[in-house]
Amino acid sequence: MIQIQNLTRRYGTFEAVRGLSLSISDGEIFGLLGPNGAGKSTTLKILATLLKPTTGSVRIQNLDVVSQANDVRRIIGYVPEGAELYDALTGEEFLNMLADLHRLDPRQVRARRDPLAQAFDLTAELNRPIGGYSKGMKQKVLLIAALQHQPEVLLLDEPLDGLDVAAQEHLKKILRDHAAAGKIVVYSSHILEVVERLCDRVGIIHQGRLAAEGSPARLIEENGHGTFSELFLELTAASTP
Amino acid sequence: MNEMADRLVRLLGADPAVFRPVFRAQRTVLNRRAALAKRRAGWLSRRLSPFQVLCFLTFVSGVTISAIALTLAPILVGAAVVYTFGTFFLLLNVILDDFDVIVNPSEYLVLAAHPHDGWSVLLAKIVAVGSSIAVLGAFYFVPGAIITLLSLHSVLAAVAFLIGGASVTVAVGSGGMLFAAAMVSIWGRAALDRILPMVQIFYMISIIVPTVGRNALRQITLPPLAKLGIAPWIAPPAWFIWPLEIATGSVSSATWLRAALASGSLIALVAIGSRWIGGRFGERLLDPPAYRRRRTRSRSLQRGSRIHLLGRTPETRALLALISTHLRSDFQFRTQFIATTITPLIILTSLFVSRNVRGIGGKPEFVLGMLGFGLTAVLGSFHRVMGQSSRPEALWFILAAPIKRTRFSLATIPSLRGIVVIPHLLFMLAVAILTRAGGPVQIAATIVGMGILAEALLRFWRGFYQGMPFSQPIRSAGKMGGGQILAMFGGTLIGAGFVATLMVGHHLGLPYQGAVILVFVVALIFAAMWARRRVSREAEAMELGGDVQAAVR
Repeated sequence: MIQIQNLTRRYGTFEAVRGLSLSISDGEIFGLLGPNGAGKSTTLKILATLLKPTTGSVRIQNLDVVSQANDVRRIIGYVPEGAELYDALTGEEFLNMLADLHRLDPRQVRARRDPLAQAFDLTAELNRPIGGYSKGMKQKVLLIAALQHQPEVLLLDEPLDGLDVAAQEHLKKILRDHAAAGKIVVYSSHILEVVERLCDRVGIIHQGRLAAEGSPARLIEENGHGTFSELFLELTAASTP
Repeated sequence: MNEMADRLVRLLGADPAVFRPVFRAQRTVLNRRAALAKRRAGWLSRRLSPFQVLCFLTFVSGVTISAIALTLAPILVGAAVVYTFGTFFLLLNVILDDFDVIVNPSEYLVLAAHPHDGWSVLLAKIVAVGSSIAVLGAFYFVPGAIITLLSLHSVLAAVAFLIGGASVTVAVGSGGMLFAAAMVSIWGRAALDRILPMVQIFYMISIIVPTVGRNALRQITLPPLAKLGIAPWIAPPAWFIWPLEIATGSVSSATWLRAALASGSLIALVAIGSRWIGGRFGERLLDPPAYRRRRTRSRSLQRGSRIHLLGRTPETRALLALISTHLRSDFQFRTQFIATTITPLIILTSLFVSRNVRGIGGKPEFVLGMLGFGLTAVLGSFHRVMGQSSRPEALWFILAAPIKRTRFSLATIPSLRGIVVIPHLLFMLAVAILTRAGGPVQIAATIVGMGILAEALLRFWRGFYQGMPFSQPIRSAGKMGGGQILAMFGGTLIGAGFVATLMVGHHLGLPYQGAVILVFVVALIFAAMWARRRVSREAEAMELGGDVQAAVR
């Protein structure tokens, strides 16, 4: 379970996240939605232990993200948006480095990684330097890096970015299987249609605050809108200066 | 062996399970980066990697500084000077060349969500880049040790000099990384983005001054250590001369104080500083762009208004904006731009100083002649530099804009006139007045003549480097063809001929000077026609239907 209580994050005088409270249950795919600069990525970075909250608390499977950061890192898999990888390393060398940080046995890693690489059609490319990869191939490496240690919680920031259709479909299946196994997926994206279809519940963040929360169908029904995008536009336009 | 290394890592307070994979990856990245650069480069660089070139430059700096300081100054003062220059050189090198390995925001985004501790990651990186700093330190300090050996005939003194140099290298290696990491930790990544160009300028100066300015350095005389007062105490590198003091039998109470200061600073830097930084700097790398943008908005506005002031046409403004962007963001372009500006300045200063400043008043033609030569060389270099870019693809944004391509290409002329020629002519005017190079009319005629000459040179170089600005990748432009070398000599000869003619006019009076100016005007007309034809042909090839791929190559 993920529990976020009264979370605030400031950059200097700018408040990116303002008093956010949420809880996400095991076996759930939770979508984080919001316009650019709403605070989605900052929230995910706090969950992934990259940033510390200014105030408030975040617990993942009852572990505090600040005081027990390394324990949290062992059970999460994080796919950042717009990350640059080491161009000079091969995909395999990069994945091995991360596997070593998780202290995984090399045979165990291979057994987990090979099916992922095959599914993402990346097996032949893993021995080439990352510098020669396309954007989609780099994204696949990031996804394998987040999945190879079989984390209990997946934190994904725009995970479909650059992926071809086959890889997108495969990722969606992985996420559904992950949730079905009782694990958590937090999925941040701008693509409403994917979030609407994939996520059990969504949280719409606007200007650092939680504007709405619930299953997409329930939110549409409660607010009397025809489509999810109409609801999203109304919620995110309401307090725009 | 692995167990021993792990024990050592644990002794330093790091976790081998984190240290090992990060160190392995960083070492692979550094090795492959050098190999890649070697494969991509031109004839000379294919044989020498950038690091080997740097080693060579370090060696030249070490030989020059040591030869001057250790032979012309008292040995202890000389050693302090060599250590100080070495500190400066190595420190800037650490910050510039290795800092992207130590602090890499994108890497943090990927690594930080996996189990790790900041100190183990930082230690792995320090060890990975430390070896290259150790090699540079050796290239810099070994020549000094040899000179010490030859001048004092003492192996002990040479070894003591090396011990001091090795300590300086270790202190600088950790100090440089910690300084840069502390800067990010305290002020965030934006501080680094702003300060790196300045560091780069100092770095270029520290390479160029000892190599091309040695004539000037030879004029400096230094008193013995005891007469330097507080100076050796406020310059930390001078604390490291204590082994040499012991080896040369110049031990005093000050020696032990220096030994304590040097050892204390080493321990503080390596042990305390590294641990402090290891756990702190990571998060600041994720400062969002919006936070920085708010603070830099007024700067961009000022920059925009300056560009508007300098460029009258949209084409000139587009080119100036492109130069400004490259200067702020393109490391290689900035290096070449700075070198092109600084090198002639230092050569000229060095020549003036070595020929005794007071003598120049009697020979104004020498000063003006040198300035003329400088202008010729600088204009040629600037045209070459402005033809290259680390990412020529950026030019597509210009090509898609509603501007005339020939006029955009020719906009280098007003741009360089504003950036180089006008300041240069103003400097010439000041020199001519200060050195009393004639009456007001004669000085005015000289400056007008030089201005027309500069205009002709601008067009000559523009015509010779006829390609679109920023259209060639820097790595391919590194290869210098025979025609280019010939043109460099040709351009310099033309400049020399013009300057010599001007000097003749200067000595024979105003009518002759007027005739010389007329010759320059004719040269300007021909150069302008020739350059326009060549540049237009190249630019037209990039219009729709033309061979665009060939132009952006």
